Amino acid sequence: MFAIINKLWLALFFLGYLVAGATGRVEETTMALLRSMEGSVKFSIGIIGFLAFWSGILRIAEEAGMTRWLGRVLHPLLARLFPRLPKGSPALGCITLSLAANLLGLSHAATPLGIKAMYELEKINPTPGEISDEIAVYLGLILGGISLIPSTIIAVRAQAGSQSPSSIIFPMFLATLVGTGVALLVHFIIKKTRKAG
Amino acid sequence: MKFLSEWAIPLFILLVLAGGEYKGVKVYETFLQGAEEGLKTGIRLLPIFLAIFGGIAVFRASGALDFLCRLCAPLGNLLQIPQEILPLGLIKPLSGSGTLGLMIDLVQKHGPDSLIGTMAALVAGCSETTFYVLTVYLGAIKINRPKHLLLMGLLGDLAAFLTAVFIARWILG
Repeated sequence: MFAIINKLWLALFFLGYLVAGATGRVEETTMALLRSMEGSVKFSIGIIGFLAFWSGILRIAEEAGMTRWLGRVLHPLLARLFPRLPKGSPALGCITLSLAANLLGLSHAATPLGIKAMYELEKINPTPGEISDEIAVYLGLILGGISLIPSTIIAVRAQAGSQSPSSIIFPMFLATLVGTGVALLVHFIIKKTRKAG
Repeated sequence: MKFLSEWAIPLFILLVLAGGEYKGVKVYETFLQGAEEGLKTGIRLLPIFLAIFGGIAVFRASGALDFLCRLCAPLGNLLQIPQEILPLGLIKPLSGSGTLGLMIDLVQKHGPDSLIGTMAALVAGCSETTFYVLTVYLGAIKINRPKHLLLMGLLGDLAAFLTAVFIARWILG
């Protein structure tokens, strides 16, 4: 699947210069490319402050045991989505933690936690090497990307001079909720039709 | 909706600080440790920005993006999706950094509080990057066949995309 991203990136340059050549905008296009290099560095510096501050706050939350507390709060809800997982199973703990990291907009912490959850799910997979129900539901939740604090996007809005950068938090929560719901629905419908067939 | 959004971040920060203090965490030192890690993450992002912003700069300045938008416009018109937003929806399942780059570009060009700017921000954050998640998560446990999960992810992306467009229209009229 990475091949697709490689090809896409390649296509940006080749299609870009193809069109530029055809429309006589080669000089302008190269100027834009050179400007983008400076822009990337400026943007990174802007966003680093935000990332660093946020990571600092979350480290405090972790040390205070608040992430574990969040795990316990979310447990009743998750038990319903993963009925086959026994209470207090390590898989359920890992799932909760990775979802909590996603909720808090900590996508970089979320990936290692999520991979750990996948290992735990594979350990109890009744059909190893194939996708189990639990893996499908878990990935549905991750793909939906439910987020309470989309920190990167708020940072972008703030940097662009928004009047209220965080005003998108609640609308975005709603949109991710719909996406997640549809993903899970697709899984359950396919599962049902497979069983019926 | 505005109230909830406005208070989400300050409440979270105050809650964490109060919780840390209550549990006897050395809040200042712990913050510095975490911030250092965030700094490293930020530096690791720079090459990604260079790659994506560079590619998009070429694609946009050459007029190739306008061309792609014009190709997609009839479909967008049908669903009342502005032609600037459509490419964002197309690139979203493929590349998280590409989406971020394109979104930043739209937000800066149209203004963060404009209809296009708000819609772009919402679309960019309304789901995870399907190809990335499936590659990394399934690759980690060596499952090669994604079965129906790709369909699940893409339909979820589509639903979230349409919801984001609808909500942005609804808020900003």
